[in-house]
Amino acid sequence: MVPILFEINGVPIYSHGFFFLMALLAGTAMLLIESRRRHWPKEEVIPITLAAFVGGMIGARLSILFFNGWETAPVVLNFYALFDPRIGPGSIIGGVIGAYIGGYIASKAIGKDGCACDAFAPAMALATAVGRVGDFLAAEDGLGKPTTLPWGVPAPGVNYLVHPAPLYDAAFNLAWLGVLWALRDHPRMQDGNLLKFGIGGYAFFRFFVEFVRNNQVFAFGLTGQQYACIFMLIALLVYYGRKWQGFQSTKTV
Amino acid sequence: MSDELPEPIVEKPDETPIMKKPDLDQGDKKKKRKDFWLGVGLWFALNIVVGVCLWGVQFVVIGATSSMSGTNSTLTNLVTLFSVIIGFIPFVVNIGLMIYFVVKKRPQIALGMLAGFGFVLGVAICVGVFLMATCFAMLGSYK
Repeated sequence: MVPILFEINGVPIYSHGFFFLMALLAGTAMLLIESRRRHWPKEEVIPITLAAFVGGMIGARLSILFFNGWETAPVVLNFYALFDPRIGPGSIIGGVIGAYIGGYIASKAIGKDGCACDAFAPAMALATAVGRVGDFLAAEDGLGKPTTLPWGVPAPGVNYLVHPAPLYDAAFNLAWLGVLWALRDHPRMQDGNLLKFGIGGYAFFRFFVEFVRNNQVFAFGLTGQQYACIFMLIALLVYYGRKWQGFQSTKTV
Repeated sequence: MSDELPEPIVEKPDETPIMKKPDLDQGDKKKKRKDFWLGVGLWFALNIVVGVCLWGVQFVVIGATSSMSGTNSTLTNLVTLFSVIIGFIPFVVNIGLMIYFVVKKRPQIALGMLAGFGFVLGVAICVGVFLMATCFAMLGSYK
């Protein structure tokens, strides 16, 4: 693994931090391109993106309490530790939920009727794909469970090969970016549907990839992240179920 | 009296309509800008003051209890719980204040606070490039 990517005049550049920053920059660039293409005014883009960023960072951190247990509370619930770069940002699942809530509150606060948030969908996939490369290079969470598969990789501290789980995540998100990109102008993928589809797809994939990750089992053999994925998928099903019911009732009237 | 009729409005077919932004008068713009920077300043001032106060309280409480507790685990747990609650207060204050300003129809102050928050988070992420980050698996009960 390569925790230190390179050095500049003896100053180490860490893989995790570097790719995290690159992920945010790539995601922001894609968001700006998409929002410009969608004629989304900057008076809406700026507050919603800011709220999604702050909400995402808070969500990523707070969700650790649920995923890793009460032992993390002194760090996770400490507001000022949020700005400590020596502590990892937290969980991407919590980040997605937090960003969604933050963006939703901001869009309601500025009195936005429709939803232009679909611009976030490809940006989210691209950012996750880039960020996961850093997780792989830093061997975060010991990468994955032991494997005898030919693409197993060595991990620090163990003498067996493990699943390169962050790379699975990166590969999926790259492919998912292609799908979201192809669907971005589809009439049924507007008004928030592309973002919901993007989040749903990632939650579905993440549920399965969790089986080869080292995350802590919460209950019934499933990790906290898997429960969060189930929660997200159920929330989407309920949302679309209600929407479908409303559509059916207006059709009969 | 004039017999002239007002000129009929004729639509010119080759002129595409242009969406005009609502005209904000100079005073409105100025007020918005002032509110925004007030929000940024408020965020920094608030968090510095709250941070110093909480640090002081924590320092006094931990100092007082460590001198009398020895190895009293109940007291240690209570102090930990107290520290956790103290550390969480700024979350409530920050988010609560932003919602308060939105409800009070001063969203630019909330946006300024959000910008301050986002700016410091951004700086922390940039600094993180030069520092080794600890993952939570190490902080929690990771097996």
